[in-house]
Amino acid sequence: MTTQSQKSVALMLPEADTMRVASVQSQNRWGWLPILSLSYAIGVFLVAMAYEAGRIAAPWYEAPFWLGMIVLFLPTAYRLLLSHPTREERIALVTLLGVSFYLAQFLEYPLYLAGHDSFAHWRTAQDITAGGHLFQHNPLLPISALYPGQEIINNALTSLTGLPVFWAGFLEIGVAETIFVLSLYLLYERLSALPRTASLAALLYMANSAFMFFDTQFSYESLALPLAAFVLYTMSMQRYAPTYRSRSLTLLTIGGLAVVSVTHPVTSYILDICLLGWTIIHTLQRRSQREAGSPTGIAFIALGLSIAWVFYTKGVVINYLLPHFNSTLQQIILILSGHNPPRQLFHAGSSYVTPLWERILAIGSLVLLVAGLPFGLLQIKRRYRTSALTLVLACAALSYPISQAFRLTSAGAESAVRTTEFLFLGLAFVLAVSITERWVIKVQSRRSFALMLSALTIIFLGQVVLGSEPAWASFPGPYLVSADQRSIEPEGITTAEWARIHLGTGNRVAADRINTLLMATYGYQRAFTSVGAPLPVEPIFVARSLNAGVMNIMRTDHIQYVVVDLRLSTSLPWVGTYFDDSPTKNPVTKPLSLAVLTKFDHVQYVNRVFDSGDIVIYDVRPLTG
Amino acid sequence: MKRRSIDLLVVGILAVVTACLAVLLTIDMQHTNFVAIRLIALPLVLVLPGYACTAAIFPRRDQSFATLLVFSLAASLILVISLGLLLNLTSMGLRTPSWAIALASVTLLACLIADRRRRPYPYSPVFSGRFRLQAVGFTLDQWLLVSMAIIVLASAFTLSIIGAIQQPRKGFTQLWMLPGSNTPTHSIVRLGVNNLEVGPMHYRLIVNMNGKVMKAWPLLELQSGTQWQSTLSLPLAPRNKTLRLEATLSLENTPNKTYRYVVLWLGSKTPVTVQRSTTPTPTILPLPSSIILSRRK
Repeated sequence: MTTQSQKSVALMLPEADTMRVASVQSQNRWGWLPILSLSYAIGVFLVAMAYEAGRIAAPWYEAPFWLGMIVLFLPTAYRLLLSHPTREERIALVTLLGVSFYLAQFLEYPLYLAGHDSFAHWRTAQDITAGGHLFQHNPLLPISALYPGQEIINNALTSLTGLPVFWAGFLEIGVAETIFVLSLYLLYERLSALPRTASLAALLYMANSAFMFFDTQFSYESLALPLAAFVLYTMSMQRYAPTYRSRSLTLLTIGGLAVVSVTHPVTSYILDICLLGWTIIHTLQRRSQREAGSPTGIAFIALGLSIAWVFYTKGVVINYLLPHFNSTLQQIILILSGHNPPRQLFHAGSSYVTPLWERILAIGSLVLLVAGLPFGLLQIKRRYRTSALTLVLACAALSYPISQAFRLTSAGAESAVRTTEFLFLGLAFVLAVSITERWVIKVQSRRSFALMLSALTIIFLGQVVLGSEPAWASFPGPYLVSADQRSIEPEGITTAEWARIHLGTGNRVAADRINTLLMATYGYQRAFTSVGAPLPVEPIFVARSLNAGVMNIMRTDHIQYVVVDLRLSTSLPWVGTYFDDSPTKNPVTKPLSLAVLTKFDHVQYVNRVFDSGDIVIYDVRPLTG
Repeated sequence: MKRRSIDLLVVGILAVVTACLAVLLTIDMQHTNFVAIRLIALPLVLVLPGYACTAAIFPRRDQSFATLLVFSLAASLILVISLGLLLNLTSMGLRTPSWAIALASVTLLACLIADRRRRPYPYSPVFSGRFRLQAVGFTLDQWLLVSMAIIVLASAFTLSIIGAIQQPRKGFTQLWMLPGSNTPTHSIVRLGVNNLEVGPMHYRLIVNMNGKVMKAWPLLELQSGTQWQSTLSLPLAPRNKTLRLEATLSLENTPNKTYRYVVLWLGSKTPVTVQRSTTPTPTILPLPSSIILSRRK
């Protein structure tokens, strides 16, 4: 065990990474790395098999997925729980595990972008490539164009290598994931001075539901979050650095903060909150207890950069984020006052219900996470109370159970999912401290080791359930109606490509949720989502006839073409809505009628210019002028 | 640069060479696809600027490989985004030559700063720039395990990519009819059929105007993945009158059943032609659908 004094000495020696000397002396510094690298590859292969089974609709598709997950996680967890692996081995294991998770997730759709959010960022990347400049209007997600950090890197890669956006994005996010895992490990090691705590904290972080499923997408948070972790690491490093290095590190930290500010608004604000919290705690601490170096200056620079970018982008982000917060708060108030029943957990759109064993795993995971918190917090209070950053992480960990209550509201469920990756930064560290500094000292029998390993595995698998819920969304397979990635298929793609070739680009197009994405990217049309259109386009499709209201929408939005997907009449929407952020907000109870969808066939002067069986394109310019 | 900065020399040369190659091969890209060769420009974006910057920050070369790696990668991304924002202010914008010049210049500048800052410190083999396999510290057995891991991983990629290409999907046929550029006496109409079904198809296409057959193609034979296009020249609609043009596609074996159907109104209320936008189309798509569709079952 490393004592407090050893830790202090370690923290006083920032020039060399703390555990380097000891690990170099070790005879077999890589330990299980070679065999575990094979186990990672097998894990990825099993997951790839599961996806392949999904593609051919084999009934056994879930079994290799879960087996693959266990093969990926369990041996690493076992190895990292042990005391003797070297620092190098631990770093290599957590990095390879992070990369393996990323590769496993990538193989779900290895040919094209499929995630809903990815299309919006792809459109921004396309606009930059086409125009050579940033900040062009993005009809899918206007805010994406105003936070173009990720697309800038993508543009550099596509411009210099000629790679398609998809493969450039794959490399870019892969590099970001590597930065993320390494930064986390090094940050946690700085804080704890213990490679075992650091590696377990990084492992627990990677177990969170968003790490594998959300932050591997081609979207701005996937880049911003790793860079935010890197900024925290450089700041933790800077406090003990000599002057000659401190100045360079400060410059790099500010560069990192600036880049996070222009990449993803929410990550930038959460980083600001974290730095302000760090400053406040540092200021409130007694002088004798304070660590060297104050984060105050950097915190205010971070805040200034975020505010400056909000002003530079004319506050668009406020209009984008505010409705989400308002809606969540209203729902919570309604639930607390008993006016609104809580959201039914584990029920996705359509009639899908998560299987019982998966629900048990998910709840078990949450219970274990919350149950481990007090032990970790106690250790933090005992051993790390002088570290202001550690106390900030402890506060984040404490917020986790509260954030999960948001899952009870339909508007807040997404917030609960999306705050997980931030709050887990603290939760993972607190739990790792509780494991290494309480559990290791108190109980070291084989039985308790097995129990701890089981607990870690349940936490991980439960988080996989929460992140991959519902199952149909996590596996490729046959086409489903309005099911995001499961609805991206050749007929829609080729229709959009046909529009680009034969109608030209930049036409104003009205379409459902899926065809909007395809038309805006493959078709390079101005296909509007609810956040991009002056008026929502849903009534154009659901109205029984072309009444005055529909005509008003079409004229206000200057719609030129209407893309009708007749498959919408065959099933309820799997994501709960046929149209992006439906203005009616009412749950869809029956599929759209075919007669309603084909109403344009009976309207004089409307040209039915394209028909591929399932998708029809109408030219409505004679009506809208 | 002396022995102390051999790594910086390598980085500097690599930056200049990759930048030049990227620009030169872009010029030739109009005729030939050089993506495979241009991939050597990847480090210019992802590693080299950050490595040079890290060398400038840590002149004593006393950090571990993990720190060096994370700094090199993260600093590269930070520099690329910062440069992108600056390039946006220039008239040239974010284009291949501007990226190549900017990244190579920044890398070279950082290399020079790093070399200058390293002068007071002794040479360290950690930064020698040489790579020896033995230095990794694996035994032969361990190398074998790692090789097996790479093979299994490559198999996973192959399985997924081939599986995704060959994913069973329903085939489909596209039919379209668009107004073309009219002449003073005639309306021009463009027609097209694209066979994206599983195999070859035999179609029958009939074009009616106001209920009367104007043109018929009794047999259109199309292989899977091929398309047919034709232009129809029709007399202009009388003033203040509109004509309804219908094209009906049916399959040879079920001629009475409509398979695809399109309509065009010709006359005063209809647009003269499809207005092609002047917005430049980005040349880089994530993956051409031809690949996705190439081996459907």
